[in-house]
Amino acid sequence: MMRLFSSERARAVTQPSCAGCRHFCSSPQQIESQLPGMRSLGSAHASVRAADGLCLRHDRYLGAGSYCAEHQPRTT
Amino acid sequence: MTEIAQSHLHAPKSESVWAEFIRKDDWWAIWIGLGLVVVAAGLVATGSSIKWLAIAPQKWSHWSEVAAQLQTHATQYLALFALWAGLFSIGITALGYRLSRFLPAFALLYIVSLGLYVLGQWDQAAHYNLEPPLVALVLGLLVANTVGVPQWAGDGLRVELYIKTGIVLLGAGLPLTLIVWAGPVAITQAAIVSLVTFGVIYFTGTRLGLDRRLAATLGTGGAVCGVSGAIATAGAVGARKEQASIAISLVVFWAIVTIFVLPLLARALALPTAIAGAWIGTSEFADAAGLAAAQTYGGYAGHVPGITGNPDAAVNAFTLMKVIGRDIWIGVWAFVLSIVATTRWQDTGVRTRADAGEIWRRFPKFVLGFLIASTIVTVVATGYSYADYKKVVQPTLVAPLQSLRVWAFIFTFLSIGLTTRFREFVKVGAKPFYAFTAGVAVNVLLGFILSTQVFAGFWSRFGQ
Repeated sequence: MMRLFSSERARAVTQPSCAGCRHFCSSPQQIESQLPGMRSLGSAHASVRAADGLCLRHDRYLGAGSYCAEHQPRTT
Repeated sequence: MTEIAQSHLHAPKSESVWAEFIRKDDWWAIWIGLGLVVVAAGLVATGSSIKWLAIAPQKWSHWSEVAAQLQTHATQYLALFALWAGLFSIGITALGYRLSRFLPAFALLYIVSLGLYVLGQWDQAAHYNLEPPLVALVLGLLVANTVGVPQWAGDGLRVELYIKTGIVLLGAGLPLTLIVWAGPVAITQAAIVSLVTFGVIYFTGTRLGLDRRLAATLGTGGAVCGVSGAIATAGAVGARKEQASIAISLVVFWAIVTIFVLPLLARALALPTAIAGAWIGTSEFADAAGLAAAQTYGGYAGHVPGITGNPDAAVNAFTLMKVIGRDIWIGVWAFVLSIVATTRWQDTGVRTRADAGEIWRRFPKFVLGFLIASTIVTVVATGYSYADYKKVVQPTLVAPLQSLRVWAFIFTFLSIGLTTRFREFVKVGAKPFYAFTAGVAVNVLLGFILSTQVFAGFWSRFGQ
């Protein structure tokens, strides 16, 4: 039950993944501002988004559990 | 991407497992919608009702009647504003928006919504095609694309929070037995259309040379659940940012077009309300857009010659088809496509993880609220005979909740128009446009055949 409810972000920060990378932006407000039109018939706060975010390094929209060779842990 | 300020890139915090419950608008729709249903049911059990608070304009034929109505019920309209503003303020604040921006924006939204609701009650409204959803949408689009909407007002225009709250409230008007009876047909019909539409968009797209990730993102946007389907797939397969933007622009463009076109076509064919609702639920892309079309069509019943059926049947059939038939499968589509992307598609340098937990994480949770609301009212109703249900439960519980649902929908339709700025759409290119449009054509045609021919008998019975 708890595993079902745990957020992908919370799970992903325990292992190297985009959620813990300094290039990854998962702020809903920032996502909506970067993807025009999203707010008019969708929402970055929706459950369907899970913890996806924008990778500033690869310019991709990724799940928080993704990873790559250029991963850089956040330091602050 | 460089324009994203580094200040927004916070270090990850160890989030509580309960964070989901306050960080997602799905859950806030449940808290608000179900909260209203529970309070309303509790009041009925004690011999009272929320109907004083759930005020709605009545039919009128002369302006003097409008003035009299507003004057008589001014306190109730103010109380209703306080209720909505209070409930949404809690959710909006938890989602990270500023109350100082939300409240004035919502006050404006409420006042204009009241005007649109009143206009819809004019006895000549249907004659002049002044259905509140379409008027709200057109008005919003005109304002957003001419004079513009100030940035601060954006915090009050949360389409998804309003529509999801409205859908949870809608559950209170649909008996659970009806959902169980109609659910399998809705799922079957939606599955046929979703698979065919996805196939058409994906294969047309890849034949035209589109990247598979873009083709899949377009495919689920057209076949499953509009913007929500597109972003879920984009994240699951690791699409490029511009590919997500292209899919969103195409979905919003065609969703707006079909809001106007589907009710017009159904009206020209004089389809009964339930059949038209099922067609719209099969062929419209987004929940909010489809509800605008379905509610518009329901408004024609009894006003436009030849259109038969219960006005609510259009919205009810739409909701079953779209929410139960299509929306709840988003996670499954995302999971399957993430496996395909991980195992079969070209490496992009980023590894996506395929994980069955994806199905639950991406599940549109507000659907749970819709089902629970239906269960609550069904349980309450079982204690009454049919005659007492009509005399007590309908006017004191179901009707006030329906009135609140209509308010939530008008907030939604107005917000769609006010947040849709055509100049913000990205250049989609000819190939994505052709691929998506091919899917739209097949979707609309197949949805029509299934609703009006294959399952016509079922939807006719549903509307009675």
